Amino acid sequence: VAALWRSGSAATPGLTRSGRLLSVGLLIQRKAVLTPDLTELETRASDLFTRLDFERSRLSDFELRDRAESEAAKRSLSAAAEGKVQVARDGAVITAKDLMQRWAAEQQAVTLASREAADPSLKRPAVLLSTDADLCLPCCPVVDGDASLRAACDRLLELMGLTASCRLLGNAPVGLHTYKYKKSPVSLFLHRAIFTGADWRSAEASGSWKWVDADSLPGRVPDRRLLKKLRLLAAEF
Amino acid sequence: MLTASIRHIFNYASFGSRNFHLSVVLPAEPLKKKKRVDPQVELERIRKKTRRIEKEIKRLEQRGRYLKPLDEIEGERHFIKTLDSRERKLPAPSETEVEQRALLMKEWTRFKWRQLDTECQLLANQRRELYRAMQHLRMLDPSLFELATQPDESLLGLSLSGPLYTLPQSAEVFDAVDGDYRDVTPTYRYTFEVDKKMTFGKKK
Repeated sequence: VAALWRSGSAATPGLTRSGRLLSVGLLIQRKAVLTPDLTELETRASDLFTRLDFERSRLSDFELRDRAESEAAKRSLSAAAEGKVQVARDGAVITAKDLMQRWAAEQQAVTLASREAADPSLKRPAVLLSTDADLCLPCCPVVDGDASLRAACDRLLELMGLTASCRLLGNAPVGLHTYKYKKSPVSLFLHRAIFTGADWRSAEASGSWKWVDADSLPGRVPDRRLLKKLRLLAAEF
Repeated sequence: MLTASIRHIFNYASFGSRNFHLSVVLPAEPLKKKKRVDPQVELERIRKKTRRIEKEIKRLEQRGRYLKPLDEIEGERHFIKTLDSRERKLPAPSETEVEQRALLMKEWTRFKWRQLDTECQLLANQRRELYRAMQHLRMLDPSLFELATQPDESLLGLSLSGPLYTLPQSAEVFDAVDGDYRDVTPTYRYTFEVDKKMTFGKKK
């Protein structure tokens, strides 16, 4: 991809304003695919809230029916034990207990996929970075043909082949990184994009890009100032 | 008999010469003159009525009933009447349990406050970074700045889903059951009778 521009290395001609080279970079984020594991405190709080909800709730129609049927069964048993003749009432063929057993059996038939077998990195959001040691973020210079910064970002997405699976969020840049290339100042405007494709692995298919989570960023981004900005902009809520 | 006696009294009374006389006692108001009903007018009246009812049916089918304001909703009477019988008879938690719950709630509150504080700082820092980038862009190129301040129309249709608890299974492992479908489309049935004499149609 010839138009890709290495941060701090060889540059292609681009627009200059006030003696500064303009360029745009894409912060392509992938949301977490799996829910993160709950901490010990979160698990205890969740159990407590579930218990409190249950204690404050009222009986549902089904539970009332189950209670009534249980009491009727007890009465009939005690009457039978005492030898009294009990007139059989027309009751439901299927009792509440039968329904509960049936639901439990259906639930056991369903087996969920294992969370432990899944890749742990799927539980955290990630950023798409280059696999090349020198490259980090995908970026390119703003040229004369670009009507706006957003148009430059769209062109960059097209060059990466991710136009269909990525959505740019907004026309405004979310961050700025300034550095010098061969004593020429460069302004890199960072734009946020979100990966909306069905399969997150498709972005890594070309071999040029890789999803990197927040913990692995220090090993990938050599520039400390850019690393600090990426950590801020790619932070999860 | 009565009228005859009354007539006799007035005829031979002192003021009989004034020629007062009484007619027959009237038990009720005289009948009004019967108006002739124009069948065309009557038919038109019935047609208007049916048209009004059909219009109301059409309106109800398209838009449904007017919903009650939330403030006026009193809840289902069936549940309100059976509220007492629906209480759960659970044993009260022990003192130890109550104390543990209170301590856990305090710990949870502290944790959520720290989380909120961190997120607010994060948002403020991100906003500051965005402001700095826009100020720099305005300084370099005002036209690009103006374009960057325009709203992004493509964001309107954006929808995201997830995260999931587990990865989705293939159809060979688990085939989801479709489930039952219960049609709850509201239907309105109005019946009204129209006098057959007033309708056109094949006469038997």
